[in-house]
Amino acid sequence: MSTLALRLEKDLDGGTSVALGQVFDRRGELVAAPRIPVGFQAQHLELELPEGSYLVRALLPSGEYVNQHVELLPGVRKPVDIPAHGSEHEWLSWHHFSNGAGARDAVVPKRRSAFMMARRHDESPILESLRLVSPAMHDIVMEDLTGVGQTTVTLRGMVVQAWVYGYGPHVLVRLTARVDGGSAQFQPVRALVKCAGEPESIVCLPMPWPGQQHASSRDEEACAVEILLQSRDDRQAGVPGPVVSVLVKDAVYGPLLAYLSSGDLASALELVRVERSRPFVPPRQQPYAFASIEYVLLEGEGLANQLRGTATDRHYRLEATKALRDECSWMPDGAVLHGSHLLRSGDVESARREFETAIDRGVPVFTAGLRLLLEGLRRVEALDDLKKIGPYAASADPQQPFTTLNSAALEAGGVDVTSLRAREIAAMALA
Amino acid sequence: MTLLVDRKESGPGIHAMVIGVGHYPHLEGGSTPRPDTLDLRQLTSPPVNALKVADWLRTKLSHPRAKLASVDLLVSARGGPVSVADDQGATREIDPATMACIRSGVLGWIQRAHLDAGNVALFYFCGHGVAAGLMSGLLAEDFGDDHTDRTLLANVVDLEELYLGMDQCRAEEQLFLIDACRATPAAIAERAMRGRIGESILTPSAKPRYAARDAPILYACQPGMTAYAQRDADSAFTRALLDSLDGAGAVLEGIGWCVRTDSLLRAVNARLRRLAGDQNLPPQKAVQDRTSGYVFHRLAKPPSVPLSVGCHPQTAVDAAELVVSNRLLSKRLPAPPKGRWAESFPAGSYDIAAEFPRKEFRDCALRDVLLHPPEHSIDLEVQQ
Repeated sequence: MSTLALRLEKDLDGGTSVALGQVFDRRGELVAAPRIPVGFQAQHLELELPEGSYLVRALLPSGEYVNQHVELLPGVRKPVDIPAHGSEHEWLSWHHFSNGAGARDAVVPKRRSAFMMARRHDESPILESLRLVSPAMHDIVMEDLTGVGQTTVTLRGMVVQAWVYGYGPHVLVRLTARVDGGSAQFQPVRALVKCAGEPESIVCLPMPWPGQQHASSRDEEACAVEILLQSRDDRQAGVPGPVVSVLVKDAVYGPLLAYLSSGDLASALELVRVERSRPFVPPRQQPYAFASIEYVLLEGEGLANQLRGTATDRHYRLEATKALRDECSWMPDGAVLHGSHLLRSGDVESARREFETAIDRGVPVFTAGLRLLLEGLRRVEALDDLKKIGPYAASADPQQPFTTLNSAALEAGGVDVTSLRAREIAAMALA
Repeated sequence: MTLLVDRKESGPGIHAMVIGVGHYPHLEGGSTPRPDTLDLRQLTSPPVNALKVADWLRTKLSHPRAKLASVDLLVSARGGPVSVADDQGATREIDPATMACIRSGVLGWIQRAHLDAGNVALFYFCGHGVAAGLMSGLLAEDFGDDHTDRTLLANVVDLEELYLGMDQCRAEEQLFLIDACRATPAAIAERAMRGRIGESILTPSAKPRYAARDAPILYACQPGMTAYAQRDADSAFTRALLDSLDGAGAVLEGIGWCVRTDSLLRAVNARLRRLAGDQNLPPQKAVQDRTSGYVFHRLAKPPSVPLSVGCHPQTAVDAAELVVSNRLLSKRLPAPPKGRWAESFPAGSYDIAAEFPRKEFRDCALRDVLLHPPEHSIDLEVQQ
């Protein structure tokens, strides 16, 4: 036997991640489907294989793939670093890895000047304001992050460090949140992002995102959450404003959510399968990761059935989503997920109540949650509630993992964004 | 409805609903255009696409378990009704893709597909599409017939409702293929704010079943984007889709080379990138929604894999000949005119060598390189 030591070469700001892979033998048969470590700091994954020729394919969360031909000689360990640069903007490497942003068709930056403060640029969306909103209880905290390279703000006990970079057609805002006093105090955090001459975008942010045992960030306290603004292609007429995408730099949940958003449920489920083998983490400790897994299992239920498929497991899903609903009452997603499971269990009236609870709590953090809520309300024919979430569903970007709304579309739907900007938008209260 | 294929065979069957709408009388260039045509024009590609898809289903589709049982075809073309030879060889005039015809067609389609859990239900639409956030609508031929706009969404198929309603169909394998733009005309987006973007042909059940079906939706483009086609020819997406079904999306499994629904998207996008380059079309990226992972089509022979080979340094290419060989095949190609060799080979392992007859560089070879769909690109490192 020989050893194939695999790694995907990608500079993830010093962090690491994973991508699903396929190893084919010389006949074209799939002989392994490994989780390939990603990042220059990542340890190689070792696969024992008979000598011979192989094609290794890495399935990137962005939907792209990379091939590498490998010849394994008998009894040797062969390290293979698959190059996956593919971007002319490696400072956006996490976004390129996750959703293809900053690919080669964009402007080539000069290396030394790639990291700059947000500034006026002919091709750049000009960041006019970026406010973080934390609606815990009845307070509203807004901090304008515009025009700073690095700053720190405090949102009800949560300390957020923010860096703003801009170059070419991109503006990147990196946010790292930690909670004073140790245990995380979660609350819905939104960002109101305004570029000059463009309508505002309203983005749900999964903060703080506790560092995992597989922390990808050099900051061990929390994974960074990044907001990327890109000039919208002229061909995307009819959708105003820049493309706003949010990702979390978690080694596993980052790609997991990207696979979910790009429709690669098989890869997302494979990551979930491994995550579920780890010790159970109650929802209140990591509600976003908990919800991510439940969304993947529900969205991929046809495939998930192959992984589990027992009534016992369905019962477990019902209990797990109920726990999320109860322990994280600030988060609408638990009620949406629980309601969706109740619908599938045939308990229509309970499901209807869950959807009403979700609406009282506001817009789901995850786009998948907004879609499941829309689906649930259609199924139970809750027409009044459907009208309430209609504007939000019609102004959401379906490609984003976290709910991202376009204020121009909201206003077109009769939602008074200006008045919402105070308390209602903070809570995203729909009721 | 026009049942082009209606085979009464026992066992699981594939039931297809294929719709191509190119003629919109109430849009720009139509016979009775609306005062506000929403910047939507006549299309030449959808009839071509719908006929090609129907033909592919009839002549090539080979599902591992189910046989082709029915194909319902609706086509609206600018020049009037389209005629096609049916399964019996008789010429059939195809019904237009009006809302009434789509409605009755879909109801018939679900009824046929519902008969057996082993059935496969395929829905293909090519025409104008609209989208608002999480909602998508498909425009029937008679879209906009109410010029007052009071019933603007009357002849728009609400895709989500159709999709959700189909989970009551017993067919456990379903496939939705949508070759349409996903733009958002303001007048339509405004009406979508009520949580719907058209007419519901099927009413979604309040009691969906757990894991009742594997039913991906493949869209030709991302939300807010345009799906492209050349005039009077097939569209980029449909061509990429059929190429992928013909082999670019194939994987080798126990039953041989086959196309799985979870291998389609990456293959379609690889083909779309290639087509955009070849036809000078703007970039277009297909996206997939919902879960999937079943074998849709089995190939009779190994798929053809496009191979692109270059050399480092690039100047070496001009002096080189490329030799691609295995025990079944050997092909020698002279220096390419465009800096890289581009040729297709049946999937399999090959020795790939750059040879230099005038010895400017040393010959260079890779042994046993697997050419696997959708395509393969190699750069040979040569030395002087």
